[in-house]
Amino acid sequence: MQWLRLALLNIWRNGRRSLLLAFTLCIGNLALLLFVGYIAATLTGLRESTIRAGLGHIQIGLQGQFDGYADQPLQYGLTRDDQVRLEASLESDAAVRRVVPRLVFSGLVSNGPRTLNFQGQGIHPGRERQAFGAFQTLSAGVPLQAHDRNVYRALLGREMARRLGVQPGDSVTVMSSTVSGAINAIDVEVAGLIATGIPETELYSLQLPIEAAQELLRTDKLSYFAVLLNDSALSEATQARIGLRLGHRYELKGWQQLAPLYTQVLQLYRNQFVVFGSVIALLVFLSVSTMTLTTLFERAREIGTLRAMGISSQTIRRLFVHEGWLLGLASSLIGAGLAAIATVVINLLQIELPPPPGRNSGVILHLLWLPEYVLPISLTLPLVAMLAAWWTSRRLGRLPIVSALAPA
Amino acid sequence: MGHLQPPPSPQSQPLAPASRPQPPILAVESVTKHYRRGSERIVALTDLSFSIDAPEVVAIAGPSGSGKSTLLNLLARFDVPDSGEVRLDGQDLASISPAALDEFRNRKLGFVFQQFNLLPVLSALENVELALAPQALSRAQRRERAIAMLERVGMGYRLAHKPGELSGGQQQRVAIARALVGRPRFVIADEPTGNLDSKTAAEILQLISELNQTMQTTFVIATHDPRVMQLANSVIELADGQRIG
Repeated sequence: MQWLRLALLNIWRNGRRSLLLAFTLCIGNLALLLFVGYIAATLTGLRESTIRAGLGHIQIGLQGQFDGYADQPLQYGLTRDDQVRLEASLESDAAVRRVVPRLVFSGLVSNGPRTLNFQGQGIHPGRERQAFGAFQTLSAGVPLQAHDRNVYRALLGREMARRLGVQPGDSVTVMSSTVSGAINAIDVEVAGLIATGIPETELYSLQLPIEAAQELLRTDKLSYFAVLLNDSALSEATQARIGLRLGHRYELKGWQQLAPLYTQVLQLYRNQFVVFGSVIALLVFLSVSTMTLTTLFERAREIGTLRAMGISSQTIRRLFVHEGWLLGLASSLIGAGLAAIATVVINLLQIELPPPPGRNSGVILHLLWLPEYVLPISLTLPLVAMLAAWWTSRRLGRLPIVSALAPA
Repeated sequence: MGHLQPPPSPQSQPLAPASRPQPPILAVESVTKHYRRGSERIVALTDLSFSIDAPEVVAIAGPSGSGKSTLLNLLARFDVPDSGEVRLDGQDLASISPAALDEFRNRKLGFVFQQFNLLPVLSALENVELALAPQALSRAQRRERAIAMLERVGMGYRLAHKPGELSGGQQQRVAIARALVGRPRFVIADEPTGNLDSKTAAEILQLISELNQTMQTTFVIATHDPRVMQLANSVIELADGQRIG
C-alpha cells in the first residue's frame, strides 16, 4: 500500500504530464469502445436484417436441395409427406417461433411488350407476414393477403416494375417450366412493389402465393421450410439438435451458410478492429514509455537516494509500474464513461449515414453498448500502460547509484 | 582524542589470542582507485589506509577533487577499489554479492546528503518510514520507530509536514532521522551542513554529536566546513587522492 500511495502521489505531482497522458489513454479507450459499439450494431443489424428479410435462421429441405444443381425443377422438393412430417416436428420444438413454407422457381415475367427474367418465391402470405412481415417494405400497393380468394396476385421488385412499366393493379404474365419440363404461364395482378434497398433484389424479385406458384409449376411440392427461432444466439445449437432429430434425409442450412456476406463482413470488421486496436495500444505504449523515461531522468536523484537506502531496483521499478497501471486504469474508466455517454447521445441524435455499397438508402448510425466487450477493452489499456512502464523502467537496473545521486 | 589507527600489520597480531579481538568498525587498507576519462588515467585515491575502532565522528576533509567523494562511494560500496580493501565490521565490502548489497546498505548504512534528498510528496514521517520498507516490520512497527526517531531529532511536532513546508535545518533533521531509523552502525554524510546557515549548521552538528554518543553510531562526514572538523573526533585530510593528515 505504501508504494501504491507513493505512485498515486507521484502521478498527482506531475499533474500536467499525467493529465496529458491520461487524455491520450482516455481518448484511446473512448475511440475503441465507440468503434466496437459501431461494429457490434452494424453486425447485429446485418444479422437480424439478413435473417428477418426472409432468410430465417435455418432452412430445411431434402438432401441435395441446396446444392444448386437439379436435372428438373423441384427434383429435391419436399413431398406432401415430408411437409407434414417436418411441420409437425418443427412446430413441437420450443426454440422454433415460426415455420414458413417456400417454393423457389425462376422464369420470365412479361407485360406484353417487355419481358424480364425473375427469381421467384412461392409464399404463404399469412405465415410470411407473421414471421417476417415487419421487415418487408413495399414502395407501393398492398402485401399479398392470407385469405385472398384471388391467388393470382404478385409482388414485384420495384425496379422490375419500373422496367416493365407496371403499377399495382396492372396485369403481368408469369412463365416458368413445370416439374415435367413443359412451359406454363399464368396471368397475375400486381399487388405491390417490393423495396429492399438493394437494387439487384428489386430487379429480380417476384413473389406469388404458394398455391399459384404450385399451379404454375404443376406440383404440390415445396422447396424448403424457412425456420425462424426465438433467439438468434441459439441458432447453431438448435440447428444441430433439429438436424440430429430429423436424420439424413433432410439437409439443414444455417443463416450464416446461406448468407456468406455476413461472415465476410464479420471478418473484415475483426481485422479492422485488430489494426485500429493495435494502433491505439502502440500509441499508449509509446506515450507511457516516454513519460516513464522522462520521469526516470527527472527523478534520478530520488531513485539514487532510494537505492542508497537499500531499496531494491525491482521495488522502485514496481513503483513505476504502479504509476503506469493506476494512470491507465483511471483514464480508461473515464474513457469508458465518456463512451457510454457518447453512445446514448449518438443514438438519440439519429444521425443518417450515406448508403453503404450495394444499397440505395442511407442507414441510421446506431451504436451498441456491450458490457462483455467494454470490460476487457477497458482493462487492456491499463495493462499496456503497465507493460510500457515495466519495459521502460528496466533501465533502473543499469543506473549506477553514483550517477543517480550526482548533481544534475 | 582520535581513535584513528593505522591498520594492524599481520606480523603485529598475536599468534594465539586469549580472546578474539573485536574487528575495527571500519578499516580502509591500502586502497587505490583510479578512473579513466578517455585515454587519460585519473588517480582518485592512492594507497589510503585508516581504521575506526570505536563509534565516533570522523571528518573527511580536503578541497574539491581531493578524493572525498570517491572515498565515500567506496565506503557505501557504490564502487569497489582497484586494489586494497574496505572492511566494515570485519567484512570486506568487495565480497558482498550484488544481490546482497541492498540488504547491506539498508541494515548497516545510513546516508545524509547536502541537498537532504527527501521525497517531496511524502510527509516527514513517511520519508522516515520509507527507510524501513525493506525490513520485515509491520506498518505499526515502522510507524512507531519512525515517530520515535523523529522525536529524537526534535521533529516530533512536524510529522505530517512535507519537505516543502520545512526549513533547511528541519529537512536535514528529518534526513538524519531517516538515516538512523534503521539503527545502522555507520552513517555517511556528504556535506550535511553545506546548505544551511551557520546557526542551523551548528544545531545539526550538535545533533550529530549527541546521536553519535547516545546511539553509538559512527558518522563519516565529507566536508569543507571547519566547524565539522572541530566537532569531529578525528579528521582525515586528503589532497590529490592521498592522505596528508
